[in-house]
Amino acid sequence: MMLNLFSGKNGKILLVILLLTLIAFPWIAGEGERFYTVLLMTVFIFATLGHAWNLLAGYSGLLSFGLQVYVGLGGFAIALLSFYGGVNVWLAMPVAAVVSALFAWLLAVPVSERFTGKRAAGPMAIAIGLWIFYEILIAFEPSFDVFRGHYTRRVFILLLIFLGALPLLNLQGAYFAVATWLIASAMASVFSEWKVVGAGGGLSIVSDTSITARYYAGLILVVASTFTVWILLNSRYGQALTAVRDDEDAASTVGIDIRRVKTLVFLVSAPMAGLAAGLFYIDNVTITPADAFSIRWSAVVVFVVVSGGMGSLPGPIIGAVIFVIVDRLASGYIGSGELALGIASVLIIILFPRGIMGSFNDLRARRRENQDPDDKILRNQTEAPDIKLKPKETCHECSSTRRVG
Amino acid sequence: MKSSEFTEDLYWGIIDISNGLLTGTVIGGYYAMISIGLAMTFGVMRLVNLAHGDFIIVGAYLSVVFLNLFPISPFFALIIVVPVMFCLGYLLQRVLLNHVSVQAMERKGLSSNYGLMAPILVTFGLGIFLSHLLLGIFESDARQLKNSLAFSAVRLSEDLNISLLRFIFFIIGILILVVLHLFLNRTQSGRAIRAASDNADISPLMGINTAHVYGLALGISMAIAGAAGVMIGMIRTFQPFDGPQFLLIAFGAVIIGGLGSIVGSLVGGVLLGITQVLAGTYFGPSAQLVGGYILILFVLAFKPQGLFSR
Repeated sequence: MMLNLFSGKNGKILLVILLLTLIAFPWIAGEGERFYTVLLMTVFIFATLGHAWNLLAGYSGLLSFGLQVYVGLGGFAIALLSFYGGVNVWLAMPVAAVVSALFAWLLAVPVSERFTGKRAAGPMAIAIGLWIFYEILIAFEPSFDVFRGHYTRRVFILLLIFLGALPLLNLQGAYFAVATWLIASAMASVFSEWKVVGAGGGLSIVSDTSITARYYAGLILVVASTFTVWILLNSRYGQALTAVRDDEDAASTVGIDIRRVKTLVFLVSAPMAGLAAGLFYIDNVTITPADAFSIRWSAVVVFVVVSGGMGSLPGPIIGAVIFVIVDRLASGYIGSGELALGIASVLIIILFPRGIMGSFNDLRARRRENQDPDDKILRNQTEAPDIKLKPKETCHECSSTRRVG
Repeated sequence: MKSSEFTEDLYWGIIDISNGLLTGTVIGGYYAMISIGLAMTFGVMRLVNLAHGDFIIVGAYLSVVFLNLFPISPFFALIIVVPVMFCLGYLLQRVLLNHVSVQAMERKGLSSNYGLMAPILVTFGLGIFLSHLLLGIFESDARQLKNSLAFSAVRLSEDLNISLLRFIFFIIGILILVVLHLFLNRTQSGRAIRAASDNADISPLMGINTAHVYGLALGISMAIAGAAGVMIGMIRTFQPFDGPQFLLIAFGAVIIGGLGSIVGSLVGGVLLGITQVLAGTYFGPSAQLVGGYILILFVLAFKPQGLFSR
């Protein structure tokens, strides 16, 4: 079912042509035509972010409003390395992924069976012990204090220990959404006090990367993230994922380890967001805590995924294209891209409640339904399940026996 | 000499704590007002209203418009803002939100998880739209509703006082909560709202028009949000993009207190207020926000249904 447009032999040829065009684009466009190169790079960045969010919300039902925490962490990881260490930004990119993944790991750890309930006390005690050791170390040798300030250090470490103990993935629906948002906001207020990251003023990322290099980095990111999601969906986790999204209780009764599935998805989506954010801020040059941890990131990513089609693989890519078109056109004509974005997201939910890809699938299913009435049941499913459900006629006997009985 | 120093320290310690408790409680009163509408719409129609914070700011700007036309005390703005917000809320629910509600999505055959998300996304978009609309009309300058009471305070002792304005709002907030409680328990419409909240499938069979009831619920929610907006405008400055920060506070109070209980919202608001003020007193002004967030996350971690859930 994946990549509906590109299924079949013709589809594969189409996909290869599209990829080759994108690879050749900077040459075709030439050095003079930077406008479209930048636009396409923006599409790639938001498509990658969209994949990260889609993996959470679209496939496993984890509605997150805290994606911006990885945006901030990834962006600041690169900014710190290049500002203080003079590290090449491309070499700093993997660090952004690692930092985001580590933070996601910290949030997801309590959910793994090893550390639940009373057993969480052990790691907590170790963390607090390490913290006290660190404080004593600083009392003797102040230069060890990488936070450059008692307040920031203590709040930051306390917050991290607390987040480690928080069973985030046990929360559901709106509670999960609010919790992720709160975590991002808490990080934002810590970062905006932290002198090392410029205390609200932010940092600038100085690099001599060319727009062509950034374009290819974006292309690699979007291809890699699409491929990752595709692999995940076609692994044995793929079915488990959608099952968890559609009905957690039912999924656990058929033997799916919900915690493991959610943890996996959570850990995979974080570095994607971190990398995309890193590329965004390399292009944007300046990064401030207020901007990087802003809830607007979530707003945009939600728009991207929902307009494209939640829970579908090409959805985020299509959504990113729609986003860039709406954003640029609207800021050109109305003067405010986000105003149009707000209206567009309301309209899309009313007109295409399941996004462009969802409506597209509906159309295909309806057309198929006219040819083959047995396929009707497929219409209510989204994407991943490739199982052919048994046509109703085969169960004719059991229903008739029940009637007799 | 040493003992008098100690008594002085003790005295100031007590003053700090009681100041924190008093101010926190009084702030908690208006936190409860911010959050009760959110709790109500979620309880009645499972609407997670992400535009709630922006509704508050809309209320504040409505009173700006009113006070520009009639330069009188901002308290009178409540008389206009509250009914206008109620009508806006009712219309919004009937015209827009009823078509994308959880129930409507279920009718269209989408899974309940999608159903929960659709209104979230719509209100998200609505919030962005409203804040940019306000930006377009009123520019981004910080505004405040001028009033004569802004600097007066109630003196309890030499070193202990609370802002008079905040105290008045605490009283108004409690009054509104009491009126809401009476409305929900004593009137026909109130009972219909509670019935729809208890069981959305059965109540239509009992002759309850759920579309109308949902309209009423959002109307009340927005009316209270509007009143809260006027109060916030009198206490502090506000800007078009301040909505999300109030939304977060509202969610916090709702989560702490538990959904679907008026007393819960009040207690949640007060606890949140006290935590913020005390964290601010002892760890510096920026700890105020972090302290509040940590309290909310703490409740989420150990009692996600809230402290006062039914």
